[in-house]
Order: sequence, then C-alpha cells, then structure tokens
Amino acid sequence: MWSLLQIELYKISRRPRTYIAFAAIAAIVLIFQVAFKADGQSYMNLMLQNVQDNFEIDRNKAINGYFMCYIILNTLLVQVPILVALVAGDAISGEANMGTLRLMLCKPISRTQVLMVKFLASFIFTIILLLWMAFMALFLSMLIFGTNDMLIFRVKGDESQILQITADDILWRYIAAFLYAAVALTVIAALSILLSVFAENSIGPIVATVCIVIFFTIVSNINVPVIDRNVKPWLFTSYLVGWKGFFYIGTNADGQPLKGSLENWESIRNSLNILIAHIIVFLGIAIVVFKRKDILS
Amino acid sequence: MIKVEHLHKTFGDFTAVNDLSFSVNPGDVYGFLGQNGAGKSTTIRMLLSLIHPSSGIIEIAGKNLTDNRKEILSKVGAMIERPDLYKYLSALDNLKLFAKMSGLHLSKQALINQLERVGLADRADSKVKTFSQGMKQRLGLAIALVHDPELIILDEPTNGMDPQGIADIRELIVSLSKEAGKTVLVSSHLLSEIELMANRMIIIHKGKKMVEGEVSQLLNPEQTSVRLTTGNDLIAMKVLSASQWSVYMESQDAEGIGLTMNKKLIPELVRFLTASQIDILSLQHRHSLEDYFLKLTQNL
Repeated sequence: MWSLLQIELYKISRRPRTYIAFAAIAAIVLIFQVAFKADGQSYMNLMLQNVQDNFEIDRNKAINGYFMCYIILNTLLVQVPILVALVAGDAISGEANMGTLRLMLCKPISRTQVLMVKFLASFIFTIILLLWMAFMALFLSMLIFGTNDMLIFRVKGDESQILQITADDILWRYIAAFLYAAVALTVIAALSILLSVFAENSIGPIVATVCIVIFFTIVSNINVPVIDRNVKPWLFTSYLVGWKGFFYIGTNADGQPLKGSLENWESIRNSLNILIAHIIVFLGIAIVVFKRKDILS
Repeated sequence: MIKVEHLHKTFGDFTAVNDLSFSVNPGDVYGFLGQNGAGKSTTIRMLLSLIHPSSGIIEIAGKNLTDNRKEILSKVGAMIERPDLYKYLSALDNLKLFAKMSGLHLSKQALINQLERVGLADRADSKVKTFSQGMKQRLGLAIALVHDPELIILDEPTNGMDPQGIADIRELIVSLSKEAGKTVLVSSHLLSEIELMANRMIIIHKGKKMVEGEVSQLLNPEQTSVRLTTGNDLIAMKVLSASQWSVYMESQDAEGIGLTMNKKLIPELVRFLTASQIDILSLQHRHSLEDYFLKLTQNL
C-alpha cells in the first residue's frame, strides 16, 4: 500500500497541472497582501463605518498578519475546492483516459487498494495545499504586517458584530481552522474521486465537481427560512465554511470575550461529523461502483 | 495454463462473447484470431479480470480467476491494445512504476536491461510523449515482461509498428516460448501473423468459437485453395477434367477455375497446363482456412 501511495504521489508531483493550484494560491494571496499594504485603511474604514462611534480602534494595528489571513481564507476557501477537484477529479478518469488504468488493474492490486491509494494521495495533496496556503496567507502575512489582536467582522442574524481576539489566543484557532478545512476539502476530494470513477476523461469529473459545489453553495447562501430548514442541512457545502466557528470567541455572562473559548463547539463538531460522514459515503459508493465496473477504456 | 468454459458477456442487448470455450497449454504460443469486433479484446479483458463475465468459468494455472485474482495476476504479464502510458514520464520511469506495482524494486540497470530487450534502451530517459505508437507498443511489452511472468497476454502487440518492429516483436514472442518456456496468448486480426508465431490457435467470430486447434493442422498445405485464370478457361476446364487433376477441381466461374490441393503439387500443375498449351494468366493460392477467415471478414 505504501509503495502504491509513493507511486501515486510521484505521479501527482510530476504532472504540471498539480502546480496550477500552488501558483493560483500564491498569486491570489500576493494580490491581497499588496493591495492591503498599499491601501488597507480604505477597507478598514468601510468595515468600521457603522461602528466607529462605539469602538475605539487603532486601525493601523487592526490590519495585521492574523487579520490578513482571515480575510484571505474567507475568499480562498471558497475557490480551493476547484483546485482540489483538478487533481482528485483526474484520479481514476485520467488513468482511464491515458490507457494506464487497464495496465494498472492487470497488476496484482485490488481495485479497493487502487481507489484508496488515489484517495489518500488526493488527501495528502489537499494537506500540502493547505500548508502552502497557511505559509502564504498566515506566515507570510505575519512577516509583512506583523501580529496583533484580531478583529472579526460578523453578521449574526440582523446585526453586525465585531469580535476581538487577543494575539495570544489566535494561533491555535488557525491550526484548528486549517484542520477543519482539511476535512472539508477532503469531502471535495472524495466527491471528485466518486465522479472520476464514472468517467473516462479528466474534464468531466472536474467540471461536474465544480458545478456541484457552485450550485450547492448558491443554494446554501439563499436565506429563505424554508430552504434554511429543509434543504441546507442536507448540503455539504453548508458546512464547508464551518472553520469560521473557531474565530467566534465565547463570552461570559457580561458579554466579555473568554480567552481560549468557542461560541459554539457543538455546531463545529456536528459539522465535522457530517463532513466525515460525506467522505465515508462518497468513498463507499466509489469503491462499490469501481469494483463492479467493466474497464473498457 | 488457461481454461475457459462457456464464457459469456453481454453489454445490454449486445452479446460480445457467446458461450466461448478454449484451452491454452503451458508453453503454447496461442493465437487468438478474429476480425475487429469479434470479441477478442473483451475475452482478453475477462482473462485479466478487467471485465466481469456475465457467466462462464476462467481458470488460469489451475485456479479460478474470480477467487484467486491477485495470485493469478502476479503470474501474468499483459499488454492490451494501444498502451498510452504516462506521457509526462520517461520510459524508464514508466517501467519502474509498473515494476513497483508488481511488487518489484529493480535497479536502474535491471530496468535498462528490460528496455534493451525491446530495443528502447537508448530512449530510456526520453518522455513517452515523444514516442511513436510503435515505441509505445515496445514499452508496453517491456512492462508486460518486467516481472518475468509465466503467462503473457498480448492484445494486437504489433499494431502501429513498422515492418522491422513487427519482425522483432514476433521473434521475441517466439523466443519467450521456445527459450524461456513462457506461455503466450497473442491476439491478432491477421492470420498471416498468427501463422508465423503460434503453435495453436482459435478463430472467433461474433463472440463465438469458429475453429480451434494446432496451427500446423489448421493451415495444412494439403488444403491449399488454388485459383487459376487462363487464356481460355473453358478449354482449360476440359483438359483438367480429362486428367488426374479432375479430383482436385472445385469450381469454375467468371473469376477462374478453383482447385483444392496440396501446395507442393502447384509446380506440377503449371507444367501440365503448359505442356497442354494452355496459357496461364494468373495463379493464386491460399490456405483454405485463410479463405474461411476472409469469408468471415467479408461477411461483415
């Protein structure tokens, strides 16, 4: 199994397509960093225009590495599923397209092994992608903008909130958020692999994954009570942004933030369970279909 | 080595393989012949567990394929149709990866030796995307042989190759059987190719077995079809009918006179006709099996 995994990782590492994801992340992050370095104050003024009378905020310190990472992740983690699909969607269908799937399955390897190795390789790719994102969005931003307390702008119900997290209470939240994102993106990888099993060209599963994610995300963002109650709980995309929960700090009875606390750990845990269930279901279906499939490519 | 009984495969309403039974003995070069779409590739894919049979039994090395898939495949090397391989990797890397999939960790020199065997050692570091189809076929063959399998299954191995390449591969296949004692099942849509490599063969048509046996018997020179056209076929017919050649005569039509006879008698027939002052315009001969195979092909 380890030997097969090495083979898969080697193949991924040698494909030019793999590096599109890393280049795209680097480009987006750098654009953000340059833009905020040049004119971050305008953004901050816009965000604070409704609350500037109630809060005393040092805007120079508000734009710091932690804040930058949060802003970047808010944008990037919606797009990264596409980058994961680029690699995972190609896992089985790409081999079928190249005519290597039949060669691979003539070797003394079970189909379950092949699929699991493809999934593990996609998972490792996802982790490496997140580490790259962490390096670019968090550590590089910390170097450029320094560190300080972090402000989180949040819309809860009908009201806008600003949460403040002290600098010494942030790093663990990012570690937890990246771990959550790893699980969320692994759902995308599992979905892509499932779709990949049905196809014999790479484009189909990649496009299908992206379409599903975009469609579900749009539905997840429709704020109508009937959809909130009956549809959103069934869409995995409703849970993809659950990482933000790690930045919603808990408060005491007086409304004062409690260091090291979370507002709603139960909700995060439930979201994680639902995402993990999706991974298991997607992979389970993929294995059953793949084992029964006639390889005609 | 291979025993197939009542193999059947349908795709929806289409029957690709229909009650097919055959056996391949250890050390055979077994020709699997049929026109395009006859069911050769489907059968080969079932032998490699790439396609699940609708019904029937496949045994390889005395074991049921369904129950012993991994064990059996560790003894089988295969090349199926056009192997496109990992185009972004070199020939050496491709070979190394597939060797690893077979559980082998070979040294670079051992891998190069394998490439040498198929005439690709000098292109070991070239990316496969720069290869011609013939070179990919050679590399596919090296991949099939890299783990020294007991049984080698090759689906149209000479497709896309130049004449020298075809001759090289043919020679390699024969030596694998004669010198290394391997069993080879090789498919083709060309009888002439099977004739040069195989000692046993089967012809399938529309998924069904048409004929199976020893190549030497099936392509018996005594069953050679001769088609003769002369300056005057009517006179030639009369002369032949009145001679000892009448026993070999089969037909006479606008395309000439047909005879079935031993190939060795053709020069004597020519001498007889010449002595009888009959002008020979053309004389074509082929095995009766070749005629049979051509009829199958033409009926498409």
